[in-house]
Parts: sequence; C-alpha cells; structure tokens
Amino acid sequence: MVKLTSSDGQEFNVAEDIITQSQLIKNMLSDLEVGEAAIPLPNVTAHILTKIIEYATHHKDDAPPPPEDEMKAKSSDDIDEWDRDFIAVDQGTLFEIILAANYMDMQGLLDLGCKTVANMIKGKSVEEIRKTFNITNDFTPEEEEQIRKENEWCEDR
Amino acid sequence: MTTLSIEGKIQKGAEHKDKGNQYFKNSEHQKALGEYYNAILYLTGLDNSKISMGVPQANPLSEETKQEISKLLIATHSNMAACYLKLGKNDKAIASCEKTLALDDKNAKAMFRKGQACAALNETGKAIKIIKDAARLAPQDPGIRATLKQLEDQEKQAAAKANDELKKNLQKMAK
Repeated sequence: MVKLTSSDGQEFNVAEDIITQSQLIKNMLSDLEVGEAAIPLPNVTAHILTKIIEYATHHKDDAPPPPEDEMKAKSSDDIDEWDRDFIAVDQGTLFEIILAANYMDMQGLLDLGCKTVANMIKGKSVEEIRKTFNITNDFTPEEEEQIRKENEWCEDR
Repeated sequence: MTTLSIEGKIQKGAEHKDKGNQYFKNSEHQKALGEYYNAILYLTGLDNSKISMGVPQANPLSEETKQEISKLLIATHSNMAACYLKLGKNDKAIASCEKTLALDDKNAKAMFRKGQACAALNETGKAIKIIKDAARLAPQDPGIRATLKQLEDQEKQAAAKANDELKKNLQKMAK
C-alpha cells in the first residue's frame, strides 16, 4: 500500500499496482524507500484525487502505453463507454483532472481529458466556443476581420 | 493541515531543494534525491499557464512568481540529474537533464550532465557532441573542458585502435 496526502490534508491508501499508473509515483517508488511515509500531493485536492484513484483502479490491468515515437495518431472519437461516463463532469472538475493527470504524469488520463476538451470544441463556431469556455473576445473588429480573412479557406460552407 | 497558498508551496519547495543540496554536499545522494522529489511535488503544477490551452485562468500568476517557480524547478531537476549520475542511474539522469532543458534550453550544467550520462552509457560520440554544446555556452568552465578533452582523447585512441586492426586485417588478406 502507498500512502498519499491530498492538498487539503486527507490521507489515501492505494495499492501499488494501481497508483503506479502515475509515472511520477512509479519513479519515486523505484528510486526511494518510501515505506510508511505519506507522499504529499500538494497540488491535488481530495475531490480530484478520489477521481484519479477511481480511474487508475478501473485501468489497472491495461497494457502499458507504447513509447511516444511508436504511438499512432490520437483520435478524439475512440473514447470507450466507461471513460465517457467517468469524464462526464462539470468543466471545473474536468480541467482540474487534466492538470492533475499532467502533474502526476498519467498519460492515459491526460489523453482522455484532452480528447474530451477537443470534443467540446469540435464543430462549434467561434462564438459558441467563447461561450463554452467563458472567453471574452479581446480582439478589435479590425483584428477579427483580418483573422476571418486569413482563415476563410478552411471554413465549412 | 490546511491548504497552502502558492507562496507557501514555493517556500516548501525551496526548503526541500535546499535540504537536498545539503545532503548532496555530504554525499548522501539517496537522501538528497528524496528531498528533490518533495521539492518537485510542491513546485510542479503551480504554473499551469502553459497547459491551460489558451483558456484564461481565474488567478493568473505574476511573471515574477512564474520566474521564481521556474528557477527552482530548473535547479531541482538539474540537481536530481547529478544525484542519478552519482547513483549510476544514467537513464534517469538523462531524463532529469531533459526536464531541465525543457525549462531552460541554454542550461550548460544540465547539458554537461546529460553528456556525462551518455559517456557512462558508452555513447561517446553523442556525449562529445552534447558536451561541446555545453562548452560553447560555458567556455570558462574547467570541468566541462577537462571532460571534453578526456572524451575526445578516448575517442581518438579508439579510432586509432580500430584503424590498426583494419590494417592488420588488410595485410592478412594481402598475404
């Protein structure tokens, strides 16, 4: 068992074969004699860590990912059902999961999070994307026109 | 335990890094590595501006804070590489150097350490190339120059030896 402490001070006990999906924790366990000491995760809240452990538990028997240079192109359409349900969370939680997956170095979960964001963008107009992510338009009308002209060729008509 | 502020985390990270340096000075490389890991746990994930995919953040960090975090992370990753070199974990040393160089691509020390790890893995040619880059960035560093010379001599000797053997073989064939 590996002990983890979330940023809000909650302690978690996780089986080693589950939590080593985090490359960061895996490296730590192989380099150090962690033993009984809790590993602090000062940038992950208990709420997000619970989600991370849920994901890692479901995926613990997955084959290890191929090395970066052998990886095929990623597609945002190949999300399986369990993952889709898992990642159906509010936007704040989604972004926190992505940040935590990046922080803990969990490639599979990071991919899932990024694919989900990609799907939120796909097929939307500029205005719809701004609304989805709460982005203020800080372009002047001239700048906006310029950009629209430059990108005219790729617009669907 | 309450949630630490960003400043509190930076402070904690810096403390672990300094403790690591102290252990390193006393040649306690394993313990130093442990402290550096803790520094990383506090410091990474604070500056998320690079992976927020352009979405404006609620509390963006000041440039000064970002610089401070980056400086600490550069030192920590680079010192981790030094630990791994001492512990003979050359692959991990290279990985730590790459993390340093991702944050600071002109870091001569990290380049030098990456070169040393390559040399330890018998990749002399690659090591020379990397250490030459380091020497260009830090021309005054005596350690870098000495290692570079040593590796170049080593390669010359290896080349001379290979040449001799080739000659011998050719002479045999001519007979």
